[in-house]
Amino acid sequence: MGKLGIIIWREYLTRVKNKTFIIMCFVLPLLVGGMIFVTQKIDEQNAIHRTIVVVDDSGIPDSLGYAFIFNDTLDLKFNFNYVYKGLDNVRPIFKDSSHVSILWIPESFQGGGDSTAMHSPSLVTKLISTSAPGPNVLNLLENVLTNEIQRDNMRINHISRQAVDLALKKVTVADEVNGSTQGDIKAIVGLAFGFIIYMYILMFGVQIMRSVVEEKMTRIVEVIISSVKPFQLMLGKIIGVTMVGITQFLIWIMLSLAIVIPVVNSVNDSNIDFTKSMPHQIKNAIPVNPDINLLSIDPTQQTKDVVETIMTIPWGNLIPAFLFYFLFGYFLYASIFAAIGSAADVDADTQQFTFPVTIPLIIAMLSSVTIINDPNGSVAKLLSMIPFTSPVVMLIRIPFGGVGIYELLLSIGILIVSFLIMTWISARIYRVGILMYGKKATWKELGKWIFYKV
Amino acid sequence: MPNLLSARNIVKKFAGHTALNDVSFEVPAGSIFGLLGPNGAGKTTIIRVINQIIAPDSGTILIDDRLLNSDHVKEIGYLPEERGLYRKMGVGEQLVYLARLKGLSKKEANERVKEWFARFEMDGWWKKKVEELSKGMQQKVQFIVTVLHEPRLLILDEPFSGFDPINAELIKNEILRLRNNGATVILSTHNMGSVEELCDNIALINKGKKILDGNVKEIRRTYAAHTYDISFKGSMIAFSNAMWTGAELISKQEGEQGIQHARVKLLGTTSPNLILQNVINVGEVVGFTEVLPTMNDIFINKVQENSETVERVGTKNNLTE
Repeated sequence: MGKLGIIIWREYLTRVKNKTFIIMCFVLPLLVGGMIFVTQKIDEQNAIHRTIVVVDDSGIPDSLGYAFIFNDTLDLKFNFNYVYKGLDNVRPIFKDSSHVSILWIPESFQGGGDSTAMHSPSLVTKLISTSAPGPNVLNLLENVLTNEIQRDNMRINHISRQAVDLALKKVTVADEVNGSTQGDIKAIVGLAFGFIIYMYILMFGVQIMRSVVEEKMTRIVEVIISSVKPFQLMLGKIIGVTMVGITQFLIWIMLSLAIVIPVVNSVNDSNIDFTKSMPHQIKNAIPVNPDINLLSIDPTQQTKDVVETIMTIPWGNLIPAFLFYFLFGYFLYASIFAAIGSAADVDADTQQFTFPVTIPLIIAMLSSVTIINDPNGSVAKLLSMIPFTSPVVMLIRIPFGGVGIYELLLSIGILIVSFLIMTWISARIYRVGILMYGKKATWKELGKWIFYKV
Repeated sequence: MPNLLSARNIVKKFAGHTALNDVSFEVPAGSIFGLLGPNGAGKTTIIRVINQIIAPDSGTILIDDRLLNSDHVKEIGYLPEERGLYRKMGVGEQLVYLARLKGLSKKEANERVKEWFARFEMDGWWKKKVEELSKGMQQKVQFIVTVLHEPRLLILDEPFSGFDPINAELIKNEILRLRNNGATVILSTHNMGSVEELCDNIALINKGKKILDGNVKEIRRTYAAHTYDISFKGSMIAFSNAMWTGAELISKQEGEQGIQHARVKLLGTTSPNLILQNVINVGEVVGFTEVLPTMNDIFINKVQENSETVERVGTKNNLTE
């Protein structure tokens, strides 16, 4: 093993064997898994005992009212009970029952059966609870009532079911680029990759900086650079810490798969329902009562769309791009952090330098909203050329497609060149900085160090 | 004796300040060489140049008559003045790591660390973290770091600082043992006692310039100021009279059993024999020794003399010191 290898290996081993690393590796996935488990359990517990009492004061003629239209079709674990009493009578009965909600359909609802008022009917109902039932329940009730009202209105206006079904056939726009739900998925994928790079640079860049400061503070650096070149030490440290980070992410991915999957499965146990893991908006779009459904979205179709969207993400570009931007973006910042560390005598001295250095990263994350809304807009294009923001911004853009090959190559080229220049500059600062003691360096001095002959 | 190391006309400037100004010296193989000078004189700079931590602006360093190059790294052991070890790393592991950076194989490094553990009675230290050790113990570890790869040239910057007298003696004996086994030692220190005791040759540097170098014994003789200590039985007044104009009485002291001690400086062409002849007439002489100046005196005199010609205010070295 060459000297560089020996340095890399030490930097790697001392960190991997460190208690903090082991705790971070194992506790974090456990925490995430535990949180998912607990929230799902809480959801379940909340849902099981709830009862909704429907009080229908509307008295719409020729109808049983709204009492029997509800079904817990979403498996939210609700019971529906119906009473033929007024709200004033029902309310006191349940005023102390935390597990009972009263759905009150007031007299004025739908014009109270008065057909002259049908053009501006009140559509307000109330769910009266002592403890909040959660948005899922409200959505369910709204959907069911809305469907019912629509059906009533058609019947009142003598429109046949078949006519309505035909008239309201839903047109699907197959969304190949960038749409609402599909766009969401792409945004999530892009943000996730961008965020991983952002996190990694900050976490492990700071580790490099601290480690440089430590070597300088304990003065061992002088012993080491009498054996190896400062650049070898800096490079060994950067590569070693990179490997630690990769190890940590691999462990997280594996542990997450090992912990999260069984947890999710155990909660869903017998009923592995794909809709469970979907966002609520999607879930609520699924028909409550299929035979009166007018806004027909087939759940299996929805699933298919998600899968198709995921398939339309240019993975062939995304994965290599991720690996590239991840490594070079990280190296770009890592060498800067090493240089900053070398200019400080104690950890606290580094703060004046770290903040300005992290600003571009923060800008990249903050502008993610703009980029998602307009992945090929001018802000996105500009930020994906600047080497300090491109690793994050490019990764957000790529899932949406539309990043031209020349644009990508230009961004990659700029990043590589910047990385080389920055590493050179940092190494020049580093080799001077590690031998400087006793004074707090300024930006101006760092600039001078670049041109020192050592 | 051939020279292991020659420094020739070394110049090193830092922003607006000359740290080394045309410094040359020779270190004979198998000798202990004292690199002396006040704080900020440029000692650390020259040590860093030899260690290839920094490069001189001009001038050359030769080792065995070959230009200093990266192959020499493993032949040099360096104990910096500011000691440093990884605080959270185990002692054994750390020693092996640093030895491997010097070019030892893992196996060799392991064996040698064990040998040194036995020599310094450090059994059971292997797994200890450096931060758990006392300062003296850390110094021992640091010394082992310096010598583990059996370098031919040892550069020790203040090797005795931080040691109690017992461990300082241990280190002194190790330095002598290594020298006797063929190593050459460059010793940078302010402790002039140890210079007289250990060093064969010295170079004195002040404000980046060499102001004195050569063999320690010869230097002391050169700066000998014709001063003698005379012990005798008899009257001090008679002794003073006997000196006449040939010598000056610098100090006197009455010892036990009527023995008088006097320090005299011979003046003009007075020879020690002439003085002795005179003194014999006034009492019984029991001791007569030449007083050589201490390195401490020479150091102070030379540096002050040099500073009178140069500006007195010491500019601080840009790099440490």
